[in-house]
Amino acid sequence: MTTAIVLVVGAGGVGKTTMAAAIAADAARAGARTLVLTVDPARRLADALGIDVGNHPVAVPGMDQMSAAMLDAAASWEAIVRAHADEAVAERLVRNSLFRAVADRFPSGQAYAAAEEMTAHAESGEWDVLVVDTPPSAGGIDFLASPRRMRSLVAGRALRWLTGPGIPGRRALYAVTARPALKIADAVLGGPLLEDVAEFLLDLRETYDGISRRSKQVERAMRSAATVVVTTADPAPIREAVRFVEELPEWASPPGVVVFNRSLPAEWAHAVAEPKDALDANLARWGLEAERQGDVRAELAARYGVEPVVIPWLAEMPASPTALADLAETIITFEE
Amino acid sequence: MILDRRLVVVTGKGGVGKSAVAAAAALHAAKHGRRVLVVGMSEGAGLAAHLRVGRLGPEPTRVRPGLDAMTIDPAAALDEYLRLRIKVPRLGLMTRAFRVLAETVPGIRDTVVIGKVIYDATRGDWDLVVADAPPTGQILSYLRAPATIESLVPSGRVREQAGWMRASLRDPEATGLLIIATPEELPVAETQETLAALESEDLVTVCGVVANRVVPALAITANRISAEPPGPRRDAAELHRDMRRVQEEYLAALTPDLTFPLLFGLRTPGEVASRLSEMWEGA
Repeated sequence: MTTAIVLVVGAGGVGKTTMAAAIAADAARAGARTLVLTVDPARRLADALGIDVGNHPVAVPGMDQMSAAMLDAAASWEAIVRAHADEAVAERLVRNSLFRAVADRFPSGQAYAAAEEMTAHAESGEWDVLVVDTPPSAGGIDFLASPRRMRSLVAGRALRWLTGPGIPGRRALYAVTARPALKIADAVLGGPLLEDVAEFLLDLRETYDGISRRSKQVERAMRSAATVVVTTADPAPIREAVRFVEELPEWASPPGVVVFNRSLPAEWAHAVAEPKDALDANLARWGLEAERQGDVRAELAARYGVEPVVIPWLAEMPASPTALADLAETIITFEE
Repeated sequence: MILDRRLVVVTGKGGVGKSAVAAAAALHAAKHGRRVLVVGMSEGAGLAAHLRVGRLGPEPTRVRPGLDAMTIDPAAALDEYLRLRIKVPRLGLMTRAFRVLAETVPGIRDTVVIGKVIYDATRGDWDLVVADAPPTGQILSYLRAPATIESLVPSGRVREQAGWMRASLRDPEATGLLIIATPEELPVAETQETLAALESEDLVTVCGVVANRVVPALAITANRISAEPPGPRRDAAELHRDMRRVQEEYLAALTPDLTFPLLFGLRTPGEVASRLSEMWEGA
C-alpha cells in the first residue's frame, strides 16, 4: 500500500502545526498508521501529545497508530552534502568557511532537506498516512519549490558562469575564464572571497547528479500529496491562503480544503441590536468580529470556489490526542 | 522613548502584526512633525496595505505629508552598494562577479539589505526611518551579517563598510530594535530567545517590546457569567474570560513596554494601522 501524504500549508501563527497534529490524530483514530512531521512543535502541543517530539518517530500514548517526529532543519544541509557528494568533497564542503553561512541562510536548502526527509518516510512503507506541517518561511511555498530551487542552486546561473557547461575538465576551464575576473574583483573586495566562493560552488556542483535525481522523486511525492490550506480570517494569512490557492497547482494538487481556524459562531453576528447589559456589550463586539469573519470566508469561497471548513476559536489548545482528533473530524476524510 | 532615534527596526514572529505596528509607528511620528521613511525590508505587500497604497517600489514615494515609504529590491540595493559604497570602478563583468558572490554568500545579501536601511537613516533626508524587518526567526542573521562579512574579508572597503554598519547598529542613540509579540506561546518564546541572544551578543539595543492583540480584562464577574443561561451571551463571555486568563500568563512573561488591544471587527489593514497610531499617543 502506498503512503497518502497530506501537506498542511499556510501563514505562520494560524495554528498550522496544531491542525497537522489534529489531522494526524483523526487519521490514526480511523485506523491508519499515521506519522505527523512537525517543524517547530510548541510546548503545549508536545504536552497535548504527551511526548517529546524528536528527530525520530515516537509513538503517541493514548492514540494507537499515531507517531510524531520533527523535521530537523538545522542538521540537514550537511546531510544533503554527505548524501550526494563523495566523501572527500563533502568533507571539504563542510569545512569551507562559507558552508555554515550558506547553510544557515539559504532557506530552500533547509526546506529541501525537510522534503527529502518527508520522501524517505513516505518510501519506508511504515505509514499509511503522512501528515506534513510545512516549514514557516513563505508559508510553505519554499517547501514546495525547494526541489527546483535546489537544482538551480547546484546548477544555476552562478555556476554556469563560473564553470561553463558540465563537462570534464571544468576546473581547468574556470581557471582561464572566470578566475582572472574574480582576482581583480577580490583585489577591490580586500580578500580572496570570490575565489573561495568559486571553489565552494565547484565542489557543490559535485552534488548535482545526486540532487537532480533525488529532487525529482521528492517532486513526485509532493505532486501525489493532498493539500490543506490553513488560515485565519485576518488579512495577512488570507493573503497567503490566496497565494496558495492560486499557486499550489504548480507544485502539488490544488487544495481540497481551506481551513479557517479561530472562527467564531456565525450566529454571534447581529445577535445584539441594542446592548442592555455588559454581557450584551461583550457579545456585540465579538459579533462584529464574527460578522467580519463570515464575510471574509464567503468572499474567498465565491472567488476561488473553495469549500471553507470552520474550526472554532478556542482559548486553549486541545489537551489530548483524542481532543485533537475531534477538532479535525470535519477537515478531511480518509478512505480505508 | 521608543521612537527617539534615527532608525527603529521592527521585528516579531510571523503573524503577530509586525507590519501594522511598523506602519502605525511611522504614521504616529509623521503626525508629530518628524520626516519619516518606512521601509519594507522583505516582501512589502503587508506594509503597503497598512499604508493604504496599492504597491510600494524601491524608490521612496510620498504616502502622507511627512511620510515616505518604499520596499527594498535586493538587486538594486546591491548595485547601489557597489557603486556608492565600495566604489567598484566599472560595473559589467565586475558586477556579474559580485552577483555570484551575493547569491552565494547570504551574509552579503543581508548586509546589503540592512545596510541600505542604515544609509537611508544617516542621509539626513529623514528624521526617522522605520524598518518593517524580517521576522524574529531571521532577524539575528541580518544583525550579525556585517560581523560575518568582517570575519570573511581581511581588509579593504567591504570590510570598512561592514564595520561602519556594525557600529551604527550598536549605537543606542542611532538604532533601536522593537519586538512585537502577541500574548501566545510561540511569539513570546521567540521574543525571549531573541532578547537572550541580544543580551549576550551586543548587536543592537532593544528599544521596546510591544504586546499586540491583547484581550482587555472583562468587567463581568465569574458569578454573573455562571448565572447566565446557555447561549451566545454566555459563550462570548466565557471565550473572552478564558482568552484573557491565558494571555495574562504570557503578558507576565513578556513585560511589554506598550500594549495594543485586539481590535474587534476592523475590516482593512489601513483601519488597523490608523487605530494603532492613534493609540500610540499616550505611549
